Amino acid sequence: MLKQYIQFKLGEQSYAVEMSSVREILKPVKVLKLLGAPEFVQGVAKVRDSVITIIDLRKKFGILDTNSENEEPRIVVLECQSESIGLWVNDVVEILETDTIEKIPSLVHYGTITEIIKLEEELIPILNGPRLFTEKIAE
Amino acid sequence: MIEQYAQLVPLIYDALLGKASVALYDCEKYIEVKQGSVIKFPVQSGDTLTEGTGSYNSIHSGKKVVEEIDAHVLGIAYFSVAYPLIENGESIGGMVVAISSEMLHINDKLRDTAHNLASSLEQISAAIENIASSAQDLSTSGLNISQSSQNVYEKAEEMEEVVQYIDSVASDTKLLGLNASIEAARAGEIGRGFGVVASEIRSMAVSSAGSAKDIRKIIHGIRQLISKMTAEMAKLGANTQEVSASIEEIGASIESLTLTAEQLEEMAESL
Repeated sequence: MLKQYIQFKLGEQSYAVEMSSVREILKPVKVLKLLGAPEFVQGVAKVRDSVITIIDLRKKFGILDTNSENEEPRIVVLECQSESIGLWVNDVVEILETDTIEKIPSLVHYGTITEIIKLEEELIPILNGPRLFTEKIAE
Repeated sequence: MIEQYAQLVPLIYDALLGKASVALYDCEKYIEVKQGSVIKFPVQSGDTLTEGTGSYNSIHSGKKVVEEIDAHVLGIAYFSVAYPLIENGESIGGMVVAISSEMLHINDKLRDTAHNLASSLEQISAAIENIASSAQDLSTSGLNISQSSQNVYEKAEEMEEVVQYIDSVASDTKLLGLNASIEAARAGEIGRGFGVVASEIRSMAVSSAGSAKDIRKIIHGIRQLISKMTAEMAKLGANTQEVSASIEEIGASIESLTLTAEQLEEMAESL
């Protein structure tokens, strides 16, 4: 059965998240830095009436930045349990609708990536939103 | 008797710098003929006098005969002066001298030539003035073109601003489409139709962003062309200035030539 994913870029590479885990996509917002927070936590921002924490995965996984001018940085807001977490991305590419999914061993990244989308010309790892922000990963 | 006059022939010949022909004759024939370097008699020593010639007429009239003969006889126009030699009231012969009449006209010619030179120089002077004013016009046009291309450059800049606006609208539209798709997916079966609309909006946004990119490329091309044009115009301006300078130099030369021509004319006048 077809499932929908949101494809985005972190550095040069494409990743995807399940669309059902995404609440919305935002333009970059003004962020309040949090004292003592790890470097990959950009800070918190007020979006409408709620406050979301914004995470920069590039800092966490050592992803090199790009110099492309065609990118439009966005924040993908994920719903993790009852919390909202904003994922800073270089660009949101498209919505993918596919069923060509492959499983990969769960020991990779403690299960942050368990599946991969197989397209004709590229492979797009699917980030597992809720798993990304478990205590183990945050360490 | 007449033979004694033969001594005079070289004297007259030399006095006329060897250019003129001198001949001595008695009543029947030419006794001595000395051919000049410019005018040559069509007769030789010993030839008989022909009826109708100046020499013949001078003997029979007992008076000097002056004739001006045009170029078709000897290939060059000349004067001939025949003097009879009279002893005891009778003509015993005569002497004839033929000298190129060019020499007599040379003053006129010189004056005419100097005059022509002066008037030609005047024409050249006028032409150069025209060229100088054309060069000036050229320079003005060049400045105008430079100004216009600067204007076009600025317009292209304005156009780029508009394209930037289109770009940002396209970007916002894409975001809107994405969020609409997310909402549609959340609504499940009910949101399916809305999802299609959202997807259309997204593809529209992508294609307008693409068009904006194309326009930007075109604008970039225009600006490059204008930059090239401006550089060429600068070269043209420099060349025009060189031409103006050269024309000025030529004008100065012509002025001094005109002065020389005037002096020449005065000299010819006073000859």
